[in-house]
Amino acid sequence: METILTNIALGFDPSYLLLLLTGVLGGIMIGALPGLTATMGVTLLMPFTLGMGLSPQGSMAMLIGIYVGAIYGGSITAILIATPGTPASAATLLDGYPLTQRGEGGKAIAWATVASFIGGLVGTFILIFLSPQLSRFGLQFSSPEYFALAVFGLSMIISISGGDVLKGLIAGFFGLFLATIGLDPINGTPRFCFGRVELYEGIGFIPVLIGLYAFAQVFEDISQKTAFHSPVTKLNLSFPALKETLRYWSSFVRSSLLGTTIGALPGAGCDIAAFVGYNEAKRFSKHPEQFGHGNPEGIISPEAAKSGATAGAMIPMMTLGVPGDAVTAVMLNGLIIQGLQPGPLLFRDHAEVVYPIFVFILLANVFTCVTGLLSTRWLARIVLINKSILLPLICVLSVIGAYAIRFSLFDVFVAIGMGAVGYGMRCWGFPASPIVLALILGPMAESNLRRALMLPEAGISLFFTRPISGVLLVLAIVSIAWGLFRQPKTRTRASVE
Amino acid sequence: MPSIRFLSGICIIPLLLLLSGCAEQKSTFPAKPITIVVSWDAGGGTDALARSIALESSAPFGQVINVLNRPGGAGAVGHSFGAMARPDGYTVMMITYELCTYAPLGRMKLDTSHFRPIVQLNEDPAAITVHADSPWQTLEQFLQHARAHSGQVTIGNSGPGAVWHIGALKLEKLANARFTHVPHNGAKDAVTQLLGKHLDAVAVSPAEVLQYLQLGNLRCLGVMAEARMPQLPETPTFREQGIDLVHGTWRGLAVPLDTPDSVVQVLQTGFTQGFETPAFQETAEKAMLGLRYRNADQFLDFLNQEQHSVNELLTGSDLVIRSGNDVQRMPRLYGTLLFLCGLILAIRTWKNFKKTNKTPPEQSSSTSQKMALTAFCGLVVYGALMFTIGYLLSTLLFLVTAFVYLGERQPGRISTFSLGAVILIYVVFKTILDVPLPQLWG
Repeated sequence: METILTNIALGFDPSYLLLLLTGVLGGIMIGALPGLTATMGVTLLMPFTLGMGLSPQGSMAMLIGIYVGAIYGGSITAILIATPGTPASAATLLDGYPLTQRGEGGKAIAWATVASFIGGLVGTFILIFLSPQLSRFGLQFSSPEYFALAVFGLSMIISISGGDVLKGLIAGFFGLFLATIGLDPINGTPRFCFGRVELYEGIGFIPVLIGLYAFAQVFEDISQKTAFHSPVTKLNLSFPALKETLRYWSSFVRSSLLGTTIGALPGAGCDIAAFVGYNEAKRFSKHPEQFGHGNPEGIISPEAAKSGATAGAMIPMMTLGVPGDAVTAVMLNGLIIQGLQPGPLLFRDHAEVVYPIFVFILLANVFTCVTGLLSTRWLARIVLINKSILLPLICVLSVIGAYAIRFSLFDVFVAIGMGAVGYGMRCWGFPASPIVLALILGPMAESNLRRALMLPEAGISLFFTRPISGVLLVLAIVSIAWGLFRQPKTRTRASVE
Repeated sequence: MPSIRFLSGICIIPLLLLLSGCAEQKSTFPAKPITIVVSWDAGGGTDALARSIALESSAPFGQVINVLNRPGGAGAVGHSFGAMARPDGYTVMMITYELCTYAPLGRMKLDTSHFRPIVQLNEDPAAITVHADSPWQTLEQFLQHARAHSGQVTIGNSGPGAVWHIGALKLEKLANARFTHVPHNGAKDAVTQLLGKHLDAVAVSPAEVLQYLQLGNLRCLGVMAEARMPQLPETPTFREQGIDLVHGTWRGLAVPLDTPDSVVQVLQTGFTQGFETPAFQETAEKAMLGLRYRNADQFLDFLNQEQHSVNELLTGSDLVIRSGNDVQRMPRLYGTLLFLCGLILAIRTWKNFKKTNKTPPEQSSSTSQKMALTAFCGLVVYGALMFTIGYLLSTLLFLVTAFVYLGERQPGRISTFSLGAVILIYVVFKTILDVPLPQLWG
């Protein structure tokens, strides 16, 4: 017990805390810039922490800070300028940006911050106390289970379609089709590449995100020139009342738990967690028709889920030495280079690294929360900037962001082209988020379906006889049926508006 | 507002510094940072090797060495990027075994003859690993089971056509057995599936399973190396078990074919010094990367040999990657569903149109849509200009034009925001984060 306490105290070393804080601040900035993702931030800083000769604890402090900060930071731009900084923030945008348009951006950020904090907190406690159980659960997931999870995720297209399910489905299938471009995942045969090597790795996810949201929003703003000079008449800078926030306790808890569990699966990360969190909040809500129009639960749920997922992704890394997502894969490599082998032995042989890591995740969430709340009032003023100044700046930042993700000119034009597509979709009332969801889940669904069908005992029954995949598929069917059944009510409401 | 004039004044200073920095190029090679291109994801073995050689070689060159990941298409994307880079020695490619496979697999016309090798750094054998709970203690038992249950034994690999996949295909041929090869998205994924007992075996490098071997979760049946590995003294080689199979990956540095001799000389000397540093050797050992040095000439001979043997292996033999007929199935399914939904929508719209007999309201605002079209064209021009006249000029030009077009008339604001943005983005991306921007000038 005493050694555990000493090891925990080690995590509070001032030099580590300083590194952690630097990481959090840098991470928030990286996350907020479109095109720079958490994975990129951690990858870029890895050699830096090694070069500085930091101890394993020191370098983990900084990397965890960046990870937690970046996943949170993506939501700031999603809420304020409708440009998700990281893929995981695309779900937050759905209800965050409408609030900003109403002048309540500050409130939206405050909710996102608190939700992110609580998600991180719950995730960390699960990481500390339930890691072995969750990692064993994660190992049960094979191709049929991942396929079922992807189908379950895709069933959400119906609920995030807004008013019109048919248009949502069209957007979803378009996204799924886009996701098949590139080398196919099982044979490596080029599909729809037209001999262009740039297309071998598929249509980039970030450029599509930038196009569909950032550029489409810019085009829409420009075409509505009348609302140009006084975008928001009154700016509400008040924080949400505690009582109001407490009303959503069930969303906080549900999303945090869901997010952590999804994050703990080696094949699913923050982006999927955020969308599942959003969808479940809508399903359980008494007012599902308010979603997409600035419902606080639509911000709280994805935020709590993706923040829980960051802690969850550490679970397989620490207990099995298997990365939970792309970011933890980079961290894992860093630990190995430092001479530590994550896995069960880490807890026994290197408790002096394990316990500080727990402390860092906890404190990274505290730092993020404090930074977020302190800067909210200032960030929310962004809507007061004249659009004739703001829009060109968003354009430049988006072009650079689309370039920076893979250093490719091609991606810049993909982003601009998708901007035109996104604008057209807005004009004709097609929702954009099904495309995003399909791009995240399409490759997962296809590769795992085909992998599962390669198994010697393959057959359609395989997906239903395996318990986890069976449950997930039944849930997906129920979810689709529920969505179609519930939909007419919302549709009439949407058409009234 | 005097502060704006003051601010724009401040903005000018770093810009001037930046310009003067660009002017003093053209001395001896290397006069600016070198970039190593890695065609695999960050976090993998190739990436780790590139990052540690970059770190340790920056001292001999007296320059920063950056690592650029261009993953995708089983390394095809990065390799073709590296081959098409400017042959000035500032872009160095970390080539891997897969480079030999693209042409014979029909993916693209790129092979080792498109590169000029500098040094080889690493060599790792393949290995066959099974779960510790499985009944197979030796390779022979495993192969006997595979022969008796043709196609029933599943072997996971890191990706279609990757080096470990080819290793398993070679084994299949030599041992006269038939496996079901299950490709994954990287070796880690395959190993995770083996840990969950969803696969019978994996064909990956010993480094990728070492920790589970030490823990006793997995069992390595043999390595495809000439001698036993120092980390795995108990594990026999394939040859010891009667199968004459030596197979593995190699990694090394290369530059595009037209790079001048003098530059290649400098690169070889610098990277060799980096290779020899104790720090590099230590990092490689910790990351369990097998070290293997060959200089430019030896590496060239080796590459020719490898290319020849891979060509022979993959073309004109029965050793092809068995492709199912389902490559086009999913896109076709999605396309059909998309078409069906579109058809329903068209019918619905037409019915509504007939009912109300008027055009939808969206069509009315054509003037404002013209502005959106202008913005779109402006962005396309900006994107194209960035790669002809460079980041600085194109961004300035775009911002100033856009500000004015959108109705901003105050010169102070226009200059402050455009200059400020150009410099701030440069500083944040390039200086702080070290993310390459498009070239500053054309």
